[in-house]
Amino acid sequence: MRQEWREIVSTGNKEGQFKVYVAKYGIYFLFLLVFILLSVSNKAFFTVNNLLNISKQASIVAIIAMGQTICLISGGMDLSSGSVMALAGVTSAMYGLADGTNMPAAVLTAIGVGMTCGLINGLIVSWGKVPAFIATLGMQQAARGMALLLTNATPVFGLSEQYIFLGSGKISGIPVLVIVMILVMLASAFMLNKTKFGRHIYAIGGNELSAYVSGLNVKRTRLLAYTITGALTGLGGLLLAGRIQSGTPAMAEGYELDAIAGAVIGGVSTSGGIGSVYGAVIGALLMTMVNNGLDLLNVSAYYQQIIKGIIIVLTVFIDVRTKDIKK
Amino acid sequence: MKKRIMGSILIVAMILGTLCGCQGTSGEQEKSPTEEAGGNTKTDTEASATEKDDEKIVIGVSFQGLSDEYIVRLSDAFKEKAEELGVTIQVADGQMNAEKQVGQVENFIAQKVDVIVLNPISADGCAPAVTAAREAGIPIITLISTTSNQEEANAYVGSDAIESGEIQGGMVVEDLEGKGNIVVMYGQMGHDAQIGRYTGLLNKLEGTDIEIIAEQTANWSREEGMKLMENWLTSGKQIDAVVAQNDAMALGAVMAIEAKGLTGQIRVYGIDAQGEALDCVEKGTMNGTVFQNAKRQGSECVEVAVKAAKGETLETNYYVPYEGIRAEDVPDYR
Repeated sequence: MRQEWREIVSTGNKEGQFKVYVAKYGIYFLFLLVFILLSVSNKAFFTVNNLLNISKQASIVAIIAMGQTICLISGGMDLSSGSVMALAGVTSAMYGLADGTNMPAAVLTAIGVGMTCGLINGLIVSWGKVPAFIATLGMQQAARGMALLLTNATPVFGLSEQYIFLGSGKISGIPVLVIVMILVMLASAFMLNKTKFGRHIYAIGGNELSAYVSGLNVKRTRLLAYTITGALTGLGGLLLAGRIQSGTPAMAEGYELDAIAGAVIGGVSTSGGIGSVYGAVIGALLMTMVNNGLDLLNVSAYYQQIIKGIIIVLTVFIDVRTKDIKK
Repeated sequence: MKKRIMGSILIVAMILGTLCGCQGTSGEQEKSPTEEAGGNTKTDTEASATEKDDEKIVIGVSFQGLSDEYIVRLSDAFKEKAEELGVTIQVADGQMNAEKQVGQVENFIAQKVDVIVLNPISADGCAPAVTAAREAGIPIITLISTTSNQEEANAYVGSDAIESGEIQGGMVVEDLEGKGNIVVMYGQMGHDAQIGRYTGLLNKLEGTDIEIIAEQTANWSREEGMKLMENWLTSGKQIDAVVAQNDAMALGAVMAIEAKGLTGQIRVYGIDAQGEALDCVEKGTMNGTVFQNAKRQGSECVEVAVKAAKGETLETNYYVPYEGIRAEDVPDYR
């Protein structure tokens, strides 16, 4: 696809060139447009404090959205994120209580629980041949049930300073959440673009049959993709528990949909093979920014839902149109 | 051949799964210990022909969602009382879904339970369940929230959502001495308690100089409450108090306020009196919460249900009063 763009650009076709730029950077233009609109309409929006707020609020969704991106690119989908976050959050919070806190155990538990759930998802999808939608829907139910069972629906609270630091601390003025998000972004981008494994993920999502024929181990790649998604989900659960200073079994309800919406707004294709983690981060930021801006303007909750719905469908609509142009 | 064996295994597994699934959705059978041990063999029809004794009564109860801490406390109290009276209960988890609850009540009707208790998630969405029970001639009692056709139900056990809003509003008016700017965090829009608590709050604010400068939903959730408060704090408006319709959102607001170093400058009020909120009220990071007596609501409901099953006449409403909690009251509620 990129070569086709270069061809159009090199032919010097002005109109074609413009369309290619829109296709490639459409989401960034939209992001800027919304950003400017909100800055103009409210003077509290464009302030250091508020921008820090937005990036902090978007971080966890962005991390989950990056996990979804990896899963979506491989041709899968993970509907279990929210529940797995809750399970990872409550289990790790049990190691992070103020008396007898054990941070390494808390972090390992969260990521380990996430990876295990991801591994199970991956096994069921790649070896069990159960559609991803169904397999992860099952996990969504089961993981939430486990979280409720383990806590009897009561939040785990009284977390240690160190644990809370993960969710609300700052390192030289920058929220820890944002730093973790950026690290995850760099690592995932490196994995997807620079490693053989990353290219394999694109290959199996783009065309499974030809990936198989050319000798890729499709099942193993898929399994690993789900496991990595799970690990990021576990990390998200840890951070969220740190942010709300408790492991709540009911937390992160519906997070998977916000994350999928963020990824898709950022140009990730739900049918696999296309997308980038940068897009997912921008998508998550866009959604959070709109929510923040509308809160500042005190727009009613009903309108907020309508506006969010329109944005999700509209961006993908534009994306699909412009991808036709690329062809 | 191999395929066929696999096929039959799958079919058996599916049938088992469905059976277990039914068990799951229609709820756990909670037999009282006496019934299990005693082996009373009187059949249902025989029992209904004569005066029912407590031990033969079957109550079907659908809770709005057992993922909520408050509802879990309510259901625990319910189970405890049922065990004490020796009645059999069937518990169903509505999973915050009105349609599921209607289905669960339909199942109870099909099973011919003696009395149905419904804790509706939605006033309108759960209304068909009440109608269905009425048509089947099975008494139905609503618990802690009502349906839009409440008059068709036999009784209501619970509290008056407006009252909790009034108690909360009363604390706000008292602390602010009748003037100032407040922000309001709603629960899930359209929820019975969201509407009632807001009405109660407005009743108390009427005639004062307290102004609601922003209002928004945080869907009963702590993370959303925190996010919302962060956004409000950056809006640069003077906020004197946050009125949250439950404690989870209030706790979210407390964290956002703490992070900004504004603790003590903005008052925070919640409802529910959950453990962590009580800690905050005691410490002074929250200024008040409202106690809804889950234990009394649950146990009183079982008593009312037993009365209904025996065919006794019921009152329309059984109110369990709310109680406002300030720092000095906290020890009494632990």
